[in-house]
Amino acid sequence: MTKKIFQYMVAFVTILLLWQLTSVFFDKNFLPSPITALQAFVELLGGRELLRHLWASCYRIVIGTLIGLIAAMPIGLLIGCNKKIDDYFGKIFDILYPIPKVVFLPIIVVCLGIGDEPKIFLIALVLFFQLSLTIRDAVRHIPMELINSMEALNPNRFQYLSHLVIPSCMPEIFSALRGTLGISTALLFITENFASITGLGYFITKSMDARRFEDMYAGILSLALLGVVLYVLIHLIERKVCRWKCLETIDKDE
Amino acid sequence: MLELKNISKSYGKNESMVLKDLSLEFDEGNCLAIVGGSGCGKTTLISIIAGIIEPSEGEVFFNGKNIKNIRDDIAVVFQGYGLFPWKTVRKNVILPLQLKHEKSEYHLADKIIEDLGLYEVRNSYPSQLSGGQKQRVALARALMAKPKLILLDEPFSAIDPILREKLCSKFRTYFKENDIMVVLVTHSVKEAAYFGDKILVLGNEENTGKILDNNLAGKMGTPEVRAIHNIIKKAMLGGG
Repeated sequence: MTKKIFQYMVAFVTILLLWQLTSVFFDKNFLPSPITALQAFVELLGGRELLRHLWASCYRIVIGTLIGLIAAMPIGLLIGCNKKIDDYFGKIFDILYPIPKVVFLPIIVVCLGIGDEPKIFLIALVLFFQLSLTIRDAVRHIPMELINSMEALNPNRFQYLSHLVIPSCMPEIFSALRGTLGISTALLFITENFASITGLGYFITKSMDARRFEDMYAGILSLALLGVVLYVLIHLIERKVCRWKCLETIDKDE
Repeated sequence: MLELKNISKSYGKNESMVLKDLSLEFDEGNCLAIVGGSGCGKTTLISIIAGIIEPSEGEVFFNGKNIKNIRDDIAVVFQGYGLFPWKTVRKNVILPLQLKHEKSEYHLADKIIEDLGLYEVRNSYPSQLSGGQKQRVALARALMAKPKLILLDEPFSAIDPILREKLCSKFRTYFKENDIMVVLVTHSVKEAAYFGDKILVLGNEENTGKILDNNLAGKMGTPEVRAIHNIIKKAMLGGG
């Protein structure tokens, strides 16, 4: 654990050093040094504005992710467990999945207004497709040996799901959640720049338009921090929920 | 009594038959060993007896009832053990009780965990266990279902020879003492001869099966036992 923390510290310092070198090399006011940006970040955290935007973004991404996950669970399980349903409805997912959902943002804003709803909806929509397909595939790949083993115990449908299907899908769900975090954060930035007056996306663009580059970087750092905190949070929950999988990974690493 | 009536199984429309018109009757309290080479349909047969897969033709009865109606009386230990990797040893073992909502019986699971020498690893996950420990967990879980018939699919294949003999002997005694009928599937002639009061030999062709009586079950290493080994081998090759 201590070794891992040290590795992260080294990575963090390396990033700061690269940033510092780039800043010195270009010597432009739109690329301040990391120290200047960090100072602005700390100062702005003392005030209320940045925190207000940070909270708005945090709320949208967390609620959007939760709604996407809650909606994807039953659908993914249904199409994963039932071949006939997958044959018909699964194809709808296959067609709609590659379409970039962000193109529907104007329509979503017209329908849901300019508040939190369209941002949350878009994040939930993107995650819903991603997670539904992940869960479907995870269900399809449950080892036959475990299916036979569970069927030999003669469980009812609920027991089959709760003791076999859901736990076996959990590692893939967490992996997909981590993988989509970058997409969710990017979507958040885009949606907060479209008919919005709150959120880190809005704050970053507004600061850039006003040539307040230190503030802009403070906003970027906040968004990055939000991403990192959520990533760590997902990782910690995964370690708790999928302890068995983490132990397997540790054993392999060793 | 376990009765297999005219069991045939083929996969797909144009595939060859894995099992062909197999019939046998087998008394309670005994051990039946099914022996044969790879691909002869041993695992298919055990899955049919377990009610996990349907035969293309024929039916299986246990104590006069179709096995479809008495699934709770049958437990299976699969070749790869089929332990759920997300459950600890104890949680794997209590699962049959949990599914039947028999919380008051959990102490039986703790007792069997101790009896099978798994107390030290009761909170470990399957990935942290050795082959022998996994095998004992799978067996403990099967016993928790309180079966009248237990089906063992190559249960000793991943265990080193010394431990294998020890466990073979231990489990055979346990099943006899607890009056549990056992069907053991194996590719090992030695294991079949040790375990089976009756031995069903499945060849690679004409899988109607050949049943041999074995009066030397539970014994090892004598010339008579070695003679039985030769009889089984001959039957496997189709010459017996």
